[in-house]
Amino acid sequence: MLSERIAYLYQAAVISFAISMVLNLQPIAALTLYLMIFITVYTALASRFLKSISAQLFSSSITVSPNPSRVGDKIKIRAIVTSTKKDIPAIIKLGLKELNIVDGSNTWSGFLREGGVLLDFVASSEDPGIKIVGPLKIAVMDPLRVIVRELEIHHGIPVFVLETDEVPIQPSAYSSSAYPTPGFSRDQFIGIDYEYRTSLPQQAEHSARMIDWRRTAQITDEKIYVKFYDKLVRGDFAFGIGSGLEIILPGGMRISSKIIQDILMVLLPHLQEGSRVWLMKWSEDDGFLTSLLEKSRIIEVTHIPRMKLMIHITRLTNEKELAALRELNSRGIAIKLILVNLGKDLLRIRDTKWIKNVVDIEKRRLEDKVRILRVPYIMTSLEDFSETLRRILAYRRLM
Amino acid sequence: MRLCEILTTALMCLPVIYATIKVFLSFEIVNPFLVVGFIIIFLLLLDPLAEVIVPVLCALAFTSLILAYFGQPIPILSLASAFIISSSLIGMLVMHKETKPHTRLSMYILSIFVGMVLLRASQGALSPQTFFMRFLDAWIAFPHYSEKLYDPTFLILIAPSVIGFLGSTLSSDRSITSLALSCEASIALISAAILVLIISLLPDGAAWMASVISALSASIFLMFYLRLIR
Repeated sequence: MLSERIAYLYQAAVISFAISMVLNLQPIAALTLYLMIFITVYTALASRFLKSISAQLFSSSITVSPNPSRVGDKIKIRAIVTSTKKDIPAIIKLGLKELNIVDGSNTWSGFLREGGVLLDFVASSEDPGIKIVGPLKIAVMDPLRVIVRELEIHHGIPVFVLETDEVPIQPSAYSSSAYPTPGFSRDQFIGIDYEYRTSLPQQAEHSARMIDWRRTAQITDEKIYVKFYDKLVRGDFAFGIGSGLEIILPGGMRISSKIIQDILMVLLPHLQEGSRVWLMKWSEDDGFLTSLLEKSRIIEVTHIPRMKLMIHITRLTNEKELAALRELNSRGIAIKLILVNLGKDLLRIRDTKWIKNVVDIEKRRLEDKVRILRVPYIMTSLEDFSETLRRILAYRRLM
Repeated sequence: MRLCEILTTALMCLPVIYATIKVFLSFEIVNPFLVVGFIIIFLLLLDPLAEVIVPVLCALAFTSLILAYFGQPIPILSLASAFIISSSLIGMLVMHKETKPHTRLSMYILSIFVGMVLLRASQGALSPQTFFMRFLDAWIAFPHYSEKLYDPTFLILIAPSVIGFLGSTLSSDRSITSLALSCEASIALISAAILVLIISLLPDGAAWMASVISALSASIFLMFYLRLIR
């Protein structure tokens, strides 16, 4: 396509041509016509070169440090782009969602040379949540910069900005026991799942929990059989952020931001390599907007993924949301609701009869709404949200 | 400013330089206020001299104003005429600092237009007293200007001027060397020139129609072609 400046030039030429034709200003009509024809012919000729440019010609990487980081932290961002084609004029821009540049620039322009292009800058965020560094785009141009081809060479990566004194260590998971002990291990829920495979004769000492008592009793070879499990490396987590959470708290933080932060705080310290987090934000106009967070990248997903379970956090203030949840349920997706009753948080600030009434009214309203849905739910305050989430994930308990 | 950049700017200014010279030559008597006023405006563009030139300009204007008060209007009229005559050339030179191509084009067209008005005003002998009226007359008459009264030299000079404009606007080094070195640009420059030349050789009505058809075809082709290659 035409570069922005040439598009404006062409528009200006067309307008000037039209005016000069009306006023019969022949020299101006001739020169504007000349400009228009020149741009058209040049575009047709020069575009042949740009047709051969594709995203495969470029390799790129983005690094963000520290990630996760805290609100107000200076986050160092570095993007490196290398190209197999040299001496091409290009503009490289690394997009930033909800991050402010503190030092340096996220844009580079010039000729692609040997050694690649380095974008090095510092950014920060005053609002917690998942911020996105990316996409990394390159605009390749002809030598006169008349036509431009824009390519996305990197989707971008998520940056977790948390409002906390202590940032969780880099996501990594471990299992303290060799075998799953559902309901007891504090880590087994995150990113690791186990599936029963077989029972084999015992080779060494094992806990009584792992013994397949039924088989040991059935088979009379005087051997003790223990259960073996397949470790499922990848575990997907889907979180829905529902309606009524766009309220701004006294500190300036949005409730939805705090909820996302709490999700990350619970999830990040235990996230297993390869685990994915689906974040589905519901909006009245667009329905569920889904993002897939992986350890090193974020992908905007246009459809609702196939999943077994979704934990949906909401205040159920919109009727359309109920319909959307019902539809998800009808697709076979089990939904667990975490209903946020803000009245409880209000009660902590001021314990009056009037506020207690508000809490009761809100509780009844939420219960009435959730009754229509017939899905398991738990009601919690904003302050207790992270603990509630931790328990739900740890014990996979139905509410 | 490098040499090739200066040459490109000079190339771009050719039609208005021609119009300016033509106006000056039309003056029966060139008085010092006309010449000094014209030169001083250009010296204002030079940053190191600006601080010196502004007081000189103020003194000149003040002197001519006092002379006008005492019944000598020629100096102030000459000074004003000098400013008007220099405006098209000043427009071209100021444009050099502008980076937005569409603003550059607007300034370029405006300068060419002022040059055309100056050319029309220069028909016949001029004096500081008559210049104003002739300039205003030429300005007002333009929308109804249908006869072919353009100076052929001015029309010819527009061709290298527009190439200079393209060179200074499109290329990164602001000179026509990039245009000349690019094979695609050279072909586009020549083919566009041939087409415009053919159209200009047609009779009036046919030229008008051919211009409109060419402009529309170019725009439609560009629109569809860009969609096609996306």
